[in-house]
Amino acid sequence: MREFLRPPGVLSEKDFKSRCISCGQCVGVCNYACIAMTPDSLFGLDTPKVFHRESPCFLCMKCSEICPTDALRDVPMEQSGMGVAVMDIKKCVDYQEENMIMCWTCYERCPMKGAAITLESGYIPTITDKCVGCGVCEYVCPIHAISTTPTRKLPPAAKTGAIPSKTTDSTNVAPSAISGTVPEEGAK
Amino acid sequence: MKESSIRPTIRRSIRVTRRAVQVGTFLAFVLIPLLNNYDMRALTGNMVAFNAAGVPLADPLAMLQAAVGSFSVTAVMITGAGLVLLAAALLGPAFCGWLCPFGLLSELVQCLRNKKSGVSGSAKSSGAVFFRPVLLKSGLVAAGLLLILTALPLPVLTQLSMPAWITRFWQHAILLREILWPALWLVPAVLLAEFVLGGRFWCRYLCPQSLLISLAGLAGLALPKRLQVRFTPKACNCPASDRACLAACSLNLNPRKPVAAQMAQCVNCGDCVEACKKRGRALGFKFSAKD
Amino acid sequence: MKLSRREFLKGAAASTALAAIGLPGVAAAAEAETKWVKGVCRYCGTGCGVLVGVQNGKAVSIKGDPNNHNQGLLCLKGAMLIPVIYTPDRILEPMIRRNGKGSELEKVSWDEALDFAAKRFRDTISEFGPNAVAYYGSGQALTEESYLANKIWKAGFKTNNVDGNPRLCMASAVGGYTTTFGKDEPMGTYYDIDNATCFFIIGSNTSEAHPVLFRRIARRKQFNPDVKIIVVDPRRTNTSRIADLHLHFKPGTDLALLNGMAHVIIKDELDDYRFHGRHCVFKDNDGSERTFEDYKAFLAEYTPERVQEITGISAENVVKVARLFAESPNTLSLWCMGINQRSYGVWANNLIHNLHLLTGHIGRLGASPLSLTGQPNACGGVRDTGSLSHLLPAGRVIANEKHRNEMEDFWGVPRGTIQPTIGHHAVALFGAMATGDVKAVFIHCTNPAHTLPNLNKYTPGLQKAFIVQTECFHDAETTKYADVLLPAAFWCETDGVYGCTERRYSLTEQAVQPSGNSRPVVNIMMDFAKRAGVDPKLIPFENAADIWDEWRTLSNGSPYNFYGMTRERLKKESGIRWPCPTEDHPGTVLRFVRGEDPLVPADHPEKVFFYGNPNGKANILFRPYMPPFEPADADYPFVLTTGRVIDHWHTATMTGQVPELRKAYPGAFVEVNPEDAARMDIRNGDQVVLETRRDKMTFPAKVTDTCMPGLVFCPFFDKKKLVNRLFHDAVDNISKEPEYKICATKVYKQV
Repeated sequence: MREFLRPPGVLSEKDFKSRCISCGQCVGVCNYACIAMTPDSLFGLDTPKVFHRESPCFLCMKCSEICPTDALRDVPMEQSGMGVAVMDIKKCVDYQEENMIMCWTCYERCPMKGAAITLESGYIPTITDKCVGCGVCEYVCPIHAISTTPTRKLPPAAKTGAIPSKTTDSTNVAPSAISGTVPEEGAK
Repeated sequence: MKESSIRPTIRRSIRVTRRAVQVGTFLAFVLIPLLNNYDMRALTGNMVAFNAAGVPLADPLAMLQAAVGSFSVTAVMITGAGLVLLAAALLGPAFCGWLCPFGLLSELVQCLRNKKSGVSGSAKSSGAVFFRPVLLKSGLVAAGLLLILTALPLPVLTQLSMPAWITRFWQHAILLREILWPALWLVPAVLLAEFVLGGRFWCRYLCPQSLLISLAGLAGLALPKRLQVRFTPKACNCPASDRACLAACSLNLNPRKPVAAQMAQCVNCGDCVEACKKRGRALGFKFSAKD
Repeated sequence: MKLSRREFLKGAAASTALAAIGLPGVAAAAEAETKWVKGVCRYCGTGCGVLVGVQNGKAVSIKGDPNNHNQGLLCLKGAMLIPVIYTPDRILEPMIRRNGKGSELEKVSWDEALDFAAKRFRDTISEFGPNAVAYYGSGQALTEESYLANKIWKAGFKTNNVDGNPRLCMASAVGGYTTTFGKDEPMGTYYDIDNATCFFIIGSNTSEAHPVLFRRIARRKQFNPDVKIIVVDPRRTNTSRIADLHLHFKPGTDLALLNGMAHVIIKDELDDYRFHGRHCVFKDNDGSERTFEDYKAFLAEYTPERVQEITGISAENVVKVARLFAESPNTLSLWCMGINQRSYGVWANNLIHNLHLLTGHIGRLGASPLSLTGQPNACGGVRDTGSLSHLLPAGRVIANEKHRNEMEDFWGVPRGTIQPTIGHHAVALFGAMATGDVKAVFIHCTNPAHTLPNLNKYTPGLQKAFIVQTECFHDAETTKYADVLLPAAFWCETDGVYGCTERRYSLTEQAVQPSGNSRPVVNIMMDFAKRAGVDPKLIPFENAADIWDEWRTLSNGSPYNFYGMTRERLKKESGIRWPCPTEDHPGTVLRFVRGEDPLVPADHPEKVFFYGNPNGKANILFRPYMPPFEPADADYPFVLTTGRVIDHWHTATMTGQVPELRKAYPGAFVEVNPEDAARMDIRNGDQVVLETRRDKMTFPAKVTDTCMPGLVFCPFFDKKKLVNRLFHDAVDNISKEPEYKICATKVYKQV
């Protein structure tokens, strides 16, 4: 099955499935047409899913407001609990030493701009522990350097808040700090 | 004889009005996803639960399943189900006769069947008429709830909701641009079975969603105001052998025996009232409990 | 209506394919077979050097030029230029609307298209005179193209109706530099970023509009934490997030702040008395010379308290920012459209210059007023070549008879050829098209049907006049109005020079052949001009290099002297900064400074010599605070502003061709402050109506704290949401630049 996230406000997969009655109101109210309904199992009811690689969620939170049975709890966007995005800094162009490209697309499009993704030192995109896993950054990243793991697939520790570093391999440092040199002026 | 009926003299036939309401309701649930596509979101949902500009309305059985499955209720669940049950108490299971899109299809199948094989159906004794269907439906619902409670915490009985399948089909087609295939074979399969077996047996004996509605309708008979069909025996000019009103009832009820058991199942469709109109006015609608 | 899932999936697949082309290090075949051709990025005024990788005659990859000022760095737009060359949206054949506006575009031969266009121009001129025709150019045209067009129209067709889109972006900066310093263009360079101790960034969202420069600023601070960054912007942009002090103020009131800062600086005796005593002249708004005491008196009303009243910035912060500015060892000011696109844009520019002249933060590495240029070649192509309706090349003006004669002599045309009256500036030009005074226009490399202010007023002009357009992409809104559409060679398909913000001229060499049947624009223009009756002796050029040589020669002896930048030299080096009078001169870092600027005599008595002005001094001008043309009021209670987003360039005719960039920003939106959004129950994605006195449009909302309460922002890149219909067309009196940045609007949720 295609990788999917649940819409914001899901407490746990078990709790969600016991409450979701397939009324489709979340789909109807979504401003971004990002919620799809597909069966969870062969004869299961259709439940809402966000296939974020095709159409991510921008955290308008209208779905969690309208859900009649609290399958999607009415929470503020900071508590959406959809998953966690992780950036591979071996791929992200801002972390490369040579032929560096400046790209802030993930930061620009993050619905929690400046909170879930920040620009370290003003220019290096970094995912923080406030990330709720909406999938937008993965969707817009032109290099596909970001991957979002849904909450239901996270190890238990992650769900309680002890999430490992959101940028793999290294913490958020400037490239030259990695190499230890201060940049020099060019041709002249 | 003073007729306190909820509607003034009906110029147009009830049947035409009711068909218009049934078709209109069907179309409304096609229109809702269409409007959503054009960013108009005041109305959302299907016949499992929907929201009209902030007012929630929901299938009471769906809410019950969610409550049992999750061991909790929300205000919206109570409001949504409550409003529907309240309406059922006041108007009887009028949903089935006036709004349910499957009900519309089921009636059309019954008409076809009648045309093919002539008038059929005989009114059973009042006890069996009510208890057999309610026992069957209760058993089904109880089994479902037990399953949810013990092994499978999902709203499994919603898989048996025909109005849900029909309205979800249009939701999927319009909002998601996908065909909801189970709706395309399940609903016709049930209709085919009804055609073969007759008596709109799904609606009468099996539809789990109608259980709570009819129980609410039954309870509503105790209310001072309750829409129901009124039978005035003194005005009845038909001999016992002339069973026009009986033949008119698609649910095989006997309008000339307005006991609670019948009334609980009567969906106030008015077909019997219409049939009676040509022969007298023994049958009519009333809203007050008193005659 | 929303895209179906299938359409989204299709887009995703396409983007993966293109990503391979556009990125460095992901070249298709072995590196050894790739030829790297030097050039300049097609996008913003930062002017990053690039190397285009060519294999088998096709451009396959791009990377930053390590020898240019950007040191190999590119932003995402530049890194994704390659797919734009080969997009199916390219116009590859000449086309004409034989039966007038609204009829179909028909593919024809070059001869037929050029004859069709030329005949119309000839007939129009003979019947209505040369002022019935015009040229509307661009700050993205190559320098050779602009210089050529200027010559053709002013000396060939003999009309001064030559203008361009820099009128809409940099004209106020030009006005500011010329009224303060006598001649246009900044005196500093990007080296100033590496040496500044205080950055004063006002009216610029550097992080989105000049990302590579922004990184340089951010790193300056990162490695020198004592460096102070002040950002003055009503929006809390990414730029402001690295600021030590972010001042947001009521839009349009920044002139009060700038005067307030001068007030504090003088009151606290932080001005450099020696500097302004030696190098500056105080002048009133009417041009009469005044004294320092007069200036003090003029500034008396701009107390911090008064500034607080006007701007909303606390009096405490007014004092703080003034002190930071003045007391820092080297203060660098950077500004862009927030200051230029204003009804008093020239004055705003002057006020920034005033601060530098008052404090002596000028003429030193790290201390300079550096105006950021929006387009890649507004400086080199249009400003320096004088391709505007009131200018002539190298700092000359139409109004000056001596200047006209100099140009007539140089160009070999009889005295009196160049008209003594100035032509129509951009907004007036399109107005003249609407009234029918101008009947035929040649539009090059710009998209006025998308970018003019108050669009509803000017599209009738586009509908009426005969339009010959050189353009690369069908996607451009203006092509709807073109009578003749001529396919232009795109960017590295031809060679030419771009001059960026820091007075650096860099050459893009031809990397690949022009696609389809497109041609280099200099060839198109000359061919067209000859057929339209222009004397061939005026335009005897074989190619762009010839044009460059003539322009280079013309610059000799002027304050814009780049005579030393031969084509050969530009090919070898990655851009050179002018003044550069001889071939062995390395280029100039500090303009107007003895020992640094070759145009200052080595024995000049003063170290700083503002030779742009006859008296060698710069003007400190008394510019009072004036409010914007259309502030918010009771009926239209919000201020609406517009601007760019990082991943799209202008009208997205190019960046819109790249799926990754389109995915990031598929369409316009309106930024609404969370407080305002909560009050109106607006969520992310809800449809919101913006209604101004001119038009009404609906946008999906983006609820963000970027805008302050009472301010909304919508970007202008989306051709399906031509936001310029909402804005008014009031212009600065001196520069004629429209005030895009401020208008009044209603904001409400669509029911």
